[in-house]
Amino acid sequence: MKNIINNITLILMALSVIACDSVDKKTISTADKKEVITDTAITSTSQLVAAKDMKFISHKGIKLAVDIDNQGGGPAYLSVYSNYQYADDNTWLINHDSRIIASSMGSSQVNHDFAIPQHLKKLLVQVWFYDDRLPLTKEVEIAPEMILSW
Amino acid sequence: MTNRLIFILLLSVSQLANSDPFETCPTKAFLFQGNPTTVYGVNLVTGTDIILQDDVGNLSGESSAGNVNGIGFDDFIAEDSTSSRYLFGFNTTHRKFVRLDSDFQQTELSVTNQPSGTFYVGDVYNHHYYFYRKNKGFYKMNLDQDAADYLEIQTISTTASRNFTDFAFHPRNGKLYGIDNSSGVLYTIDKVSGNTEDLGDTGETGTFGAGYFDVNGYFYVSRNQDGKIYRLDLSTIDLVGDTPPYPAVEFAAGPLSGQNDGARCANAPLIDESEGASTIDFGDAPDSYSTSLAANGARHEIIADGPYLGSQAPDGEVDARLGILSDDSNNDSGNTDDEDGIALVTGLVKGLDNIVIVTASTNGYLQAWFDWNRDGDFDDADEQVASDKALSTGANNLAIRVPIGADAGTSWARFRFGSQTGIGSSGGATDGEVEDHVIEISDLGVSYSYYPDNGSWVTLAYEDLWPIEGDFDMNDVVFHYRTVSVIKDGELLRVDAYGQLLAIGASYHNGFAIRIPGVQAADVDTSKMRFRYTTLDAEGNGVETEQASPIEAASDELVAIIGQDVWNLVSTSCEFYRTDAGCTDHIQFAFELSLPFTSPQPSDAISTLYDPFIFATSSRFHGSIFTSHPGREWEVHLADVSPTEQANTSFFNQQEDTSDISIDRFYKNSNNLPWSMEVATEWKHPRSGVDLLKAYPDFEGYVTSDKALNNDWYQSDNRIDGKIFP
Repeated sequence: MKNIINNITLILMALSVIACDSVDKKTISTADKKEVITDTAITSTSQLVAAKDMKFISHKGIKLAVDIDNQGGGPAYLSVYSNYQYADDNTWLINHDSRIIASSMGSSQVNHDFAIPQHLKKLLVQVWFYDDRLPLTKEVEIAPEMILSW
Repeated sequence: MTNRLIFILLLSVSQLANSDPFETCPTKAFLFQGNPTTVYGVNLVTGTDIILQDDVGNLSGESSAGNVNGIGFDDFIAEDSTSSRYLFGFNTTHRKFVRLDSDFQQTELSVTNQPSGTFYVGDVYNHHYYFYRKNKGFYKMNLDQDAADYLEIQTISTTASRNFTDFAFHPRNGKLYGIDNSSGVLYTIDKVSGNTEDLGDTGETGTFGAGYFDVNGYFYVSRNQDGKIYRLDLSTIDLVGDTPPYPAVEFAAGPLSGQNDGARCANAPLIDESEGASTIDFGDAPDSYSTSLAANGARHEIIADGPYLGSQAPDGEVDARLGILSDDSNNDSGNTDDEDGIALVTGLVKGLDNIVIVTASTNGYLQAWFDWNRDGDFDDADEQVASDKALSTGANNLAIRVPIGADAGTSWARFRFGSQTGIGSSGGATDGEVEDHVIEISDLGVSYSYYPDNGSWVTLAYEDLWPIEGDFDMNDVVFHYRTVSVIKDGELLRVDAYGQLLAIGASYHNGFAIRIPGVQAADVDTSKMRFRYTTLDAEGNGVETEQASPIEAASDELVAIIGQDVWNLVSTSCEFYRTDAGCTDHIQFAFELSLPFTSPQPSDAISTLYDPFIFATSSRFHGSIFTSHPGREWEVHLADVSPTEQANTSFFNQQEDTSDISIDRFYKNSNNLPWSMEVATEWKHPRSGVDLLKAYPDFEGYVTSDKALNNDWYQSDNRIDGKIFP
C-alpha cells in the first residue's frame, strides 16, 4: 500500500513537474508571442502575414444619393471634390482639379457609386444650376452610404 | 516705372562697363530708333521691349549722338577664346561707320573706300559687315583687325534695285534675306555677286525696318507702321521639298516707330534656355491648337504685378508643355501648377448655357475658345466664345452656350487674359496668361467618375519575379495612373486611362497593359478611340505622338497594350530607371488612352482601376524557372485579379505563388502577400533594394490589423525619406 501510495505520490509529483513544466513552457511561449508584436521582430515585408482576402489596393467604394427636389429640381450639375478649404470670406475655395464626380442632373435625384482613396475623411458636394439659382454646397463626412437632400 | 528703373540701372552699369564687348550672344533683339538714337531690347516672343540705352554717346568731333542705323551683331570669338562681340552700324546723321560696345556706346571706324551717301540696311556675317542702299549698291567691309583689308570697303554690286529697309543673315546657311517693302516679296541676296532671287510673296507689305534671325532659322521682321512682328519659317529652306512662298505670320506686337533698325545675335535661341530665367507663359494643349513656339503658340510675357488668371501667377517656360504632361499635371521638373483660373462648374452640356467661372487677378480682357467639333483647332466659326470680354478682379461668371451640334467627347479650351485686346488664339502677348484646359462636351444625363480625381494620380507598383517571391522594394515597374468612367443611365459609355512611367527597378523586360473586364475588344468604337504617347525632355517639354491601336488582336476580351517593353519608353545611363537615389532621371513617358464603346456596356463593367497589369516582353529572358521565354503568357495583376485569356495558368502554384482559380485567388504567396499593389496617392516608391517596411513602417500595422489601422501608411508623413526615391 505504502508502495502504492509512494508510487501515486511519485506519479503526482511527476505529473506536477510535468504540469509545472507545461505551465512554464506555455508562459514562455506567450511571452515570446507578445514580444513579437510589441518589439516588431518583423524586419521585412516577407515576414508579414496578411488576411486571406486582402487586395492591397487603397481605395474604397461609397454611395452618394443627392436630391434637389425642394430646390425646384434640375437641370443641374453635381460635382464632388476632395481638395478645398473654407476661406476667410466665407466662401469655398475649391481646387477644381480634385473633382471626383461630375454629373449632369436632368431630374431632381441622382445616385452614384464610386471609389475614393481610403485616407480621405471628407468631401465637398456642390450643385450648380443653369438659371439664376445660387449653387448648393455641402461638406460631408465620408460614410459607406451618404444621402444629401437640399 | 519698371522700364525707367531698368534704364537707370543699365546706365549705371554702362558707366562701369566702359567699352567692353558683349560677353554672351543675347536672346533679345536690339532695336535702334530715333535721333538721337534710343536702343531697345525686344523680346521677339512676346513683343515686349525695354530701353537699354538712350544715349549712345557723341562721336569724336561731333556735338550730337545722331541716328545709328544699319545695325548688325558680330558674334565673333577670337582664337584665344576672348569675346569680340560688338554691334556695327552706320551713323546716318554724321555719315560715319561705327562700332557699339556692350554699353551701346558708339566709336567711329576708320574705314577706307567709303561710298557717298547714307546707309540704313546692314548686317554682319563671318566677321564682315555688309550694307546696302537701293539704287546705289551692295558693299562689304572686313572687321578682322589682323586682315590686310581691315575696314576696307569693297563694292559687291552697284545693282541694288530691291526696296529693302533691313536684311539679315541666316545663321545656318549663311545666306542673306530681306523683304521688298513695296511688293512684300522675300528675296535672298547672293553675298558674293549681289544677285537677288525671288522667293515669293510673304503676304505682307510695309516698312520692315528691322529683321532678325534666331538660331533655328526663323526670320523675324518688325513693321515700322504698326510695330507688328512677323515670322517667316526659313528653318528648312535648304531642304529638298521646301519651296516658296514663305508667308509672314503675325507673331507678336512690338514697338512702332518711324525710324527702325534691328539687329540680333542670330546664334541665340529665342528664349533663354535656362528655365528659371524664362518669363514666358505658354499653354498646354496639343500643338494642333498652336501651342509651342515652333507653332507660333499662344504665349504671354510674365510681368511683375501683371495680370494673370487664378490665384497663382504663372511660371516661366522655355516652351510649351503639351498635353498630359503639361505643367498642370506634372510637377516632376519643378514647375508649378498655375492652371487655376478656370472652373467649369456645370460641365459643358450641349444646348445649355453652361457656367464658367473665370478668376482674374486684376481688371483686364479675356479671349476664350472652345473646340466644339473636336477637330484639333480653334478656327471654326463659333469657337471663339469670348472676345475682348472685360473682366473684373476676382471671380467672373460667364455663360457659355454649348452648340447643340457640338461633338460629345474630350476636347480643349483656351483662355487668354491680359491688358491687350484683339489677340488671337495663337501668337505672343505683352502681358497676362494663357490657360489651356481639357474639356468634356456631353449630353444631358452623362456623368464622369474620376479616380482618384481629375488632376492627380494613384500609383501602381509591381514586382516582377513572380512566381518567385521578390524583394518587396515594389519598384520593378511603377506607374502613375488615373481613370475616367463615363456613365449614362448606369451604363458605361467610355473608359479613359492616363499614366506616367515612374520607375523601372528590374532587369527583366516587361510590358504594361490594361484590361477592361467584362468588355469585348469588338465593343470599342475604334473610329473615336484615342491613344497617345507623350515623351518629355529634361526641362519638362513634351512631344505628343499618336499611336496605332493598342487593342490586342489576339484577345476577345478588351486588352489595351500600352507598351510591349517599358524599357523602350525611357532612356537612362543608370542600371535602373529612377530607383537609385544617385540617379535622378526625370519622368520621360506618359500615355493617354480613350476607349469609347459602340454601345453602352452593362453596369458591372464599371470599375475603379479596371485591370492594369504587367506581362513579360516576348523573346526575353524572364527567370530560369521557365524553360523558354514566357512572353505574353506571363502576367502579374493586382492581388485576386484573374489573368487574361493570354496567360498560361500552368505557371500558377509554382515557387511561392499560391493562386487558386477555383476560389478566385490570384498572385498571392502563402502569407497572402501580393506581387503588386495600388497606392492611392502620387506615392514615392522605395529605393532599389529597400524593403517596403523600411521605407513605410506603418505598412506592418496596416497589414497585420487587416486594414483596421494605419490606412494612411503611404502618406508622406509616414515614410522614411532616406529610404525612398526622391
